[in-house]
Amino acid sequence: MDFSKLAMTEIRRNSTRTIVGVITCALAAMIVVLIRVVPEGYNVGVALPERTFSGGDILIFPAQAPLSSSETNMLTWRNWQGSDWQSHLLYYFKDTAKTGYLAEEACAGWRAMIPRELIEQLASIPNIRRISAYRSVPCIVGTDRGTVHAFLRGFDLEGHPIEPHLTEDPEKHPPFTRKDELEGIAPNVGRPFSSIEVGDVISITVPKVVVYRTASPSGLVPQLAVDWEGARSYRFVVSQKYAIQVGEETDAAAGAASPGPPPSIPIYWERPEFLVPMDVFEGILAELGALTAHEATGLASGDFDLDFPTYQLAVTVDRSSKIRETSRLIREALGSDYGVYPVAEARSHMASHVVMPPDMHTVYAALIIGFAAVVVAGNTYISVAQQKRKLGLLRVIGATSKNIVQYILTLVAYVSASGTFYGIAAGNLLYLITLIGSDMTLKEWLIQALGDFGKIMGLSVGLSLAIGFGIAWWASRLSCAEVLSHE
Amino acid sequence: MNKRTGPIISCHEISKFYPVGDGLFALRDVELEVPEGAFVVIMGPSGSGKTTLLNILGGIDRPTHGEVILKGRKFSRLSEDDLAMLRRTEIGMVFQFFNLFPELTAVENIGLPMRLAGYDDDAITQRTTELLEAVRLLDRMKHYPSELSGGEQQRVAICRALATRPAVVLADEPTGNLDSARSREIMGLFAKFNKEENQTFIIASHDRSFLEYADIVVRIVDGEIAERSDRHGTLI
Repeated sequence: MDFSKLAMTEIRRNSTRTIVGVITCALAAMIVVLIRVVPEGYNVGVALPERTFSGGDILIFPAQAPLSSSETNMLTWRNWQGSDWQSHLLYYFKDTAKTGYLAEEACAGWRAMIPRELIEQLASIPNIRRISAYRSVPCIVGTDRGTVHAFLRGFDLEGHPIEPHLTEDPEKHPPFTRKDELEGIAPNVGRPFSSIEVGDVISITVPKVVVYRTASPSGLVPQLAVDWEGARSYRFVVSQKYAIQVGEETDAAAGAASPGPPPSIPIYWERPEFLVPMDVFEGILAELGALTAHEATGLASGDFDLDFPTYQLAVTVDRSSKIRETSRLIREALGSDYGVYPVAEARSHMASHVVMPPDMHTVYAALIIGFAAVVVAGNTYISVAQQKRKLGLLRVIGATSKNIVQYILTLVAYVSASGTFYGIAAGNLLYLITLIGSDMTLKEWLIQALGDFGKIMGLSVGLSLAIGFGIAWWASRLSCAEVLSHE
Repeated sequence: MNKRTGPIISCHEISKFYPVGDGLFALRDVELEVPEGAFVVIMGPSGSGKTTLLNILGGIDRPTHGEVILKGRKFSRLSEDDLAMLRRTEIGMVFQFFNLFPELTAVENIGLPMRLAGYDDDAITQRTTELLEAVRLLDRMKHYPSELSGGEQQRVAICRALATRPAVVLADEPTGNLDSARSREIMGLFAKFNKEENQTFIIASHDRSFLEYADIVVRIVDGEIAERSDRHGTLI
């Protein structure tokens, strides 16, 4: 028995209720498609600034920052006892210094990581172009205007290029070309750097970096510290300057003074990192005895890049459209002793403290679709309550309980399936916009859209039918005599 | 009357009790045997239990006590779904207010019980055409109930009740909502199918015009059978 015509005519007769159900399902499906974009979907050109100063697309820290997570209740809080120069953790997750970080009971916690060990663990993950370590040491910059605390950073020139962010003409002032003097690129923001010019000579006092071991729940772990008693000063020529714009804000004062919309003023990354080539950085650390101390840790190799401890690794990917997937694979490979964050996710947290933890995406999707399913079920209940007489009549002419259930579930399935279809289609068409500037191909978009039709449609229709089944079962139990007696 | 012997449907000691207030017996110890092909008219004042009796005979209500037997099958041993399946092929029902499905056309309404019973499209087409011809509504087969008059709707309802050639057709005040001319039309149809197809009818009605066709007249008062007679009033 085909109840589709009865169901379709019922759907058409109650068009308002049908439209409410369809629109609810459509909106739910569209939101589920689009929240996948947040916070990871970002234009490649927009992402470049963060990727430059972070050194890559995905950051790995030796601890999990306090983002909400479905696994939070399995983790414990620990006081963060690191230092600001060790990584960009505090730049992205400012609260960590106050609130601490999350770790499992048996995890090592905040410690320096050996790049080689992680690179080996991540060797089989696709889409990873390279993994580089963040190298920096606190320093004191001296100019004729005074001294200031800053960071001397060994900059990975093969990572993301600094050229787009140089403030002076690179043809006139090519960086890192001097052979007989130390040179570096100074930030163009903050005091005193904003008043330093290309060609100025500055002194940088660098402390000795000490590698030692501390106890942790999982045993002895390496840590880095600085020893100012072993400090040494170096003369650097400022060969270029850089400014990395990370956002904009409204200039309220200028807006108040003139008609029209207030202008925007750029916001620059203000972490005072003086950039030097990595080999220069390595040389300075070696001169100060850091590599000797590194050998004392018992590490097998003297390769600075691979074996010197670090508190931040940056993964550069081949395809930015695969960042979320790559991050997930890295998390799975490394486990809960590490925090793994796409730069966009970390940046969103920094800006708004609102971020979609990756494991919560599925939960939110289920909740949103569940809400839509409840709306559809509610509409169905109203529809059934108004159709009691008709259902009684169906029973009179021979419909069994199974037939009644089939009829009502047909109603539910039509509304949820059609609404979800429209929502997935609309969501994926909107998602196409994010392809502009992204390296996701049309074929990958199509595969993703088809996957959505399978997963989201299955979840939506499945949930609606599951909830609708209760209503259908109730309807199949209605007494014919009772409903027909009210003529 | 050309009737086969043996009851096609019977009810024994049927009682229906409603525990409202001090309790109410809608039916009390009703006994009835209906031979195949009989035209039975149940008469009685409003509230006498006619509709309750028809509902119980049709299996859409359960008696508090007693048994209904249709072609040897005892209703007490059947589940609700079993009764529903029995109604597909053995029981047709006609109501005072027609009770057609407004979203289906006349022919679709008539074919619905056949679809439930699993008839194929050809059989459905043949039977619905035959019935619509018999009630002179072939040209209105694709009309919706809202496009039909009251008499036409009731004719469609009768066709629906007869679609699967049921053992018995139960009609509850089938002319209650029609004028006298349409009522005579409907009565004529019942008589036609009773005579030509040996269809068994059990009709509950105030309309004394039905007595003209009745083989058995049952008068029911306050839930009890007061009298059984033929159409001339001779007690049986």
